[in-house]
Amino acid sequence: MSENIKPSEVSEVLKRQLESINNSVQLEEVGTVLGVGDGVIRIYGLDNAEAGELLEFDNGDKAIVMNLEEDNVGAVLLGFSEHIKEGYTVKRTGRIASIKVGEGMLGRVINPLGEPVDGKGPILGELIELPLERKAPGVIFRQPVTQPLQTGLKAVDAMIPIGRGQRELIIGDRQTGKSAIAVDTIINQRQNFLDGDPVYCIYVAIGQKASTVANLVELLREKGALEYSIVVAATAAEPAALQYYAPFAGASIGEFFRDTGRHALVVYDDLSKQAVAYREMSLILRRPPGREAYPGDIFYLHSRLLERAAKIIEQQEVAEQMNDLPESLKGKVVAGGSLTALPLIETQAGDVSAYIPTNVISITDGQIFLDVNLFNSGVRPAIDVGISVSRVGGSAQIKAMKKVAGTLKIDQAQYRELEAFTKFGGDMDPVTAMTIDKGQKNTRLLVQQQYVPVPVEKQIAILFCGTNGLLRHVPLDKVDEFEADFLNHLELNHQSDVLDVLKKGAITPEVETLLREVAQSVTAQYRIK
Amino acid sequence: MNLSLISNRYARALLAFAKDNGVEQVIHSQMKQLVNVYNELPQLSAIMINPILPVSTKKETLYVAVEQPNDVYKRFIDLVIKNGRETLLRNIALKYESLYCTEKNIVKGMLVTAVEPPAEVIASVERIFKTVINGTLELTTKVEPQIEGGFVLTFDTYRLDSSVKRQLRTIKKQFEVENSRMG
Repeated sequence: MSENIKPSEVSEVLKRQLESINNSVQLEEVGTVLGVGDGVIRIYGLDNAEAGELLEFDNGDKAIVMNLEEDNVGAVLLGFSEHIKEGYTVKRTGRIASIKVGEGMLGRVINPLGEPVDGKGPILGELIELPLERKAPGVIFRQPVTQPLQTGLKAVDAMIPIGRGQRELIIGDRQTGKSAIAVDTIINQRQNFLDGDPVYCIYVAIGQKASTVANLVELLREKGALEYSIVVAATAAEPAALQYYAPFAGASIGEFFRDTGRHALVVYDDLSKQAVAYREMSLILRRPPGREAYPGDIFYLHSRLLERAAKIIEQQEVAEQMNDLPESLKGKVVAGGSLTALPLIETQAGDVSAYIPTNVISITDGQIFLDVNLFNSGVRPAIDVGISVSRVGGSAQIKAMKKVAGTLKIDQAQYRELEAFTKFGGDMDPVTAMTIDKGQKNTRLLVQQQYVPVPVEKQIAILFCGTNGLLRHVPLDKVDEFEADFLNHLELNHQSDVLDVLKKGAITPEVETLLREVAQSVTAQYRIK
Repeated sequence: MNLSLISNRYARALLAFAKDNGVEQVIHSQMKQLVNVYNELPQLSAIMINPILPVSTKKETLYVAVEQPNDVYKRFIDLVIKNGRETLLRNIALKYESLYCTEKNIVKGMLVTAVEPPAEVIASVERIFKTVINGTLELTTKVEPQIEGGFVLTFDTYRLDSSVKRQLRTIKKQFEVENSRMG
């Protein structure tokens, strides 16, 4: 027996615990397990069970009611099927599936039930119980997206800006850098955290390898991002029910921050795997299969999840009246919070017209499409500008960025079109040649290393050079070098008069003049003779 | 496919047919036996869903599953097998039991104790029940030393667990929750 005495083992504390133990006998409603298979059980009895209700076995295992039929109840197990046998008794708990959420979760890795899985002991601090499934805030409790959520990626912040409260889909084939964009965004929130205006990040890993999750956690720790992040892990080895509920758990945690007036970002990595887990459950529950064998309500599954991302109205008295507010949150609501969602979807051979991708594209407020060919040609992040959009982020972009990068997206799209012609060779008129040169250099400028987010003021400064043709005398292979020198120069000599001004979102004629001067002086060393 | 609907229809038909023949009580006891066999021998479900086994084997198995199968029982089994619904037989049997009990106003109960309960205890449980429920209580008893002490009373779909085992488990759980909060 351990010799270490825990603080909770002081006699007085033990006595108090004994006094508070509730040992009253209550009438329980019970049912009998008729059959178990692949994480799904059929129960006879439980005539009054409700959909989504949590059930409990005598051994402590839990299940959630999914199907209510005339004489039996179909439920999904939240543990392993091997622990449950035919004839076992299962009781109603009267509670719907929920998760205990609190500040103590920050920096932790948990499973979709809120239990820690990182071996660091129990989650401390005050925890409040929030339902996994909750209706999204209604129209009057929302307000338009106006604040930017900087990802630290030049290509995204300039051309496909994301606002706080937005739902932006990251879509692409396997190994095209989808997760990298999401992780970069999380890492980029460090400055906000240090400035005392944190964007809490929730990373939901669905159906991933446990080793991948472990690597991610280590990476976040290294980059100092774990302090304001929570990782919800339902790995590939977990039952389908846990993989299905993981995004809902992530959303509930995000809502805790959102409804208490803070900003949160939730990454669902990825929803295709959740859809597969739901299909598995539905088929075993004998629900009728539809297209690609997905159940009929697969659209509703994703729409109700993503609708929970919202920017809450700034008026306190209105926010307090929010619909479907759980009892535990009443009195704690603070207006003005937001929950941004970055769902990920994996496509097969770039097919965005498959069932799940089209569903999620239509639900979200835009998509970042990653192209495998761009990725292989070294353009990383491999964003296909032509079909990537942000429907609401534009109004959240800071003014300076909007002014500088306003035409970048169209310029790049034009360049891509013209680039195809250059493949045939032949002479080009000077205007076309200039557009192509500018396009090539801007493409180089938008290339960025993984896990090295760039602050917004630096992004504006460098993109100013690109969009104003200040790189025309810089050879293509020296663009990276130019960028580094230019930014170094600004940091050393123009921190207060340029970078700090840009950070505030303003770009004055004086700043523009200074940027041109610095660019000219740096370009001088690369000037093509 | 609504499996519940199908089993309900068969169960209702069986009850009506048994009533016409005046053997609903006999069929009830045989359906009860069948459910018990299903509970004790999960292989029976496997036999019923096996598409390779000949129909005659399935029939024979179901005939011997109950003691002295009644003619109505046999005819019912024949019909179920003929229609290829033998996989639903367990649900049908359970539904029959439930329909029968509702019609006859019977409440089934089970008293589980750690040691053999004295007759006066059983009598007093029955007496208490009569004051709260309308109808007949069909009480069975079971001795399960694993519950350590106290009793577990199950009736209809409800359970009153006053066993020592449950109480210890509750205390353990509350201690765990309390301690995890304190760190």
